[in-house]
Amino acid sequence: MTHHFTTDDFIDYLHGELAPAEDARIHAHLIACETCRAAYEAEARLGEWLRRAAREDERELPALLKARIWEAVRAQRPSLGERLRAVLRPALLLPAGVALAALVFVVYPAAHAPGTAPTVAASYYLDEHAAEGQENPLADHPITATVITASDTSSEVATDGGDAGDHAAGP
Amino acid sequence: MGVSREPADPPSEEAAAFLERAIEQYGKAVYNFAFRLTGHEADARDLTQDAFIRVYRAWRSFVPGTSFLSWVYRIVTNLYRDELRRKKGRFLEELPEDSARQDYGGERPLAVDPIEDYMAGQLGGPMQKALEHLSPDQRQVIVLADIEEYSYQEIADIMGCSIGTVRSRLHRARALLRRLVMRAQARNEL
Repeated sequence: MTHHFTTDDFIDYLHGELAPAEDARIHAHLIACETCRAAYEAEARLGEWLRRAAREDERELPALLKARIWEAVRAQRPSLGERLRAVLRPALLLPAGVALAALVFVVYPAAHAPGTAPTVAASYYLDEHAAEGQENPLADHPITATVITASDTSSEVATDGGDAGDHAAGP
Repeated sequence: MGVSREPADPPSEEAAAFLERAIEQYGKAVYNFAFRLTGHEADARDLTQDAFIRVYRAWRSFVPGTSFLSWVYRIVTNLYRDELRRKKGRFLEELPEDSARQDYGGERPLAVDPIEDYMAGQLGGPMQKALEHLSPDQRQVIVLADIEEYSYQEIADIMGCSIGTVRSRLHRARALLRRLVMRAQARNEL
């Protein structure tokens, strides 16, 4: 029994898309089989018709289209890449690099110079100490009494009680 | 950032030269390709314009030594697909894949030259009319395979799909064209 091929096979054959062995098989079959040859020729004619019709219907680029393209191109915003390239072009990059280097040379040593570390005034510790003493009446902080004495509030000291108050009110 | 475009900056020299040459050498081919896909001159003009704007903006991504036409056809194909999506909201152009082969065996009635009879008096416009009966994907594959004569691999690259998909779309498109031609021949119209 003769094995016939399909139109799909002929389409692939016409477009040269078959493996060599399959291509050769179809080629040999078409010589011998009138039925398949007719189907193959119909597919071939369809392709020829399409190409011929396309040639006949070929159009020129409309005269104004080129101008329209250029007009549209000129009105385009630059892409991100173009903008980056524009910003990073050497004319700008060089001065920017110099400025950055200068900034590093000036600012970095100044920021790391000895003795310039942030400091806290000694009075801060004294005031803090006094405040803690007030908050905790049980604490043994003579300095609290000193501070209170300086503000001349002996009655309050007496109320707070304790040795500290007596000591402060002394001489 | 200093990128104000009022008035617009002139195109860069290299990009402008690239675009100039691209339009000069391939403008007509791109326009005809766009016309075959869209079937309308106004749409083809818009598509061609958008494609060359894309060429101008992406010219650095073109690899020298490769086919410029394949590259720009891929751009046209993508733009056309985007446009269809935009218009329709979704893209359901391709008919469901049908892997059934068109076997006919020895008993198949012979196709007695309906195409030859038809094409004798039907050129140009009727082909475009026939293409309009195909889905956009089928139309593209017919144009690329049968008119532009690209290989399946090249078409797959242009359309961004597999060779198997190209093959099945082409088979289906040709079967549909064959039926259209036979029907038109029977009614003497398309």
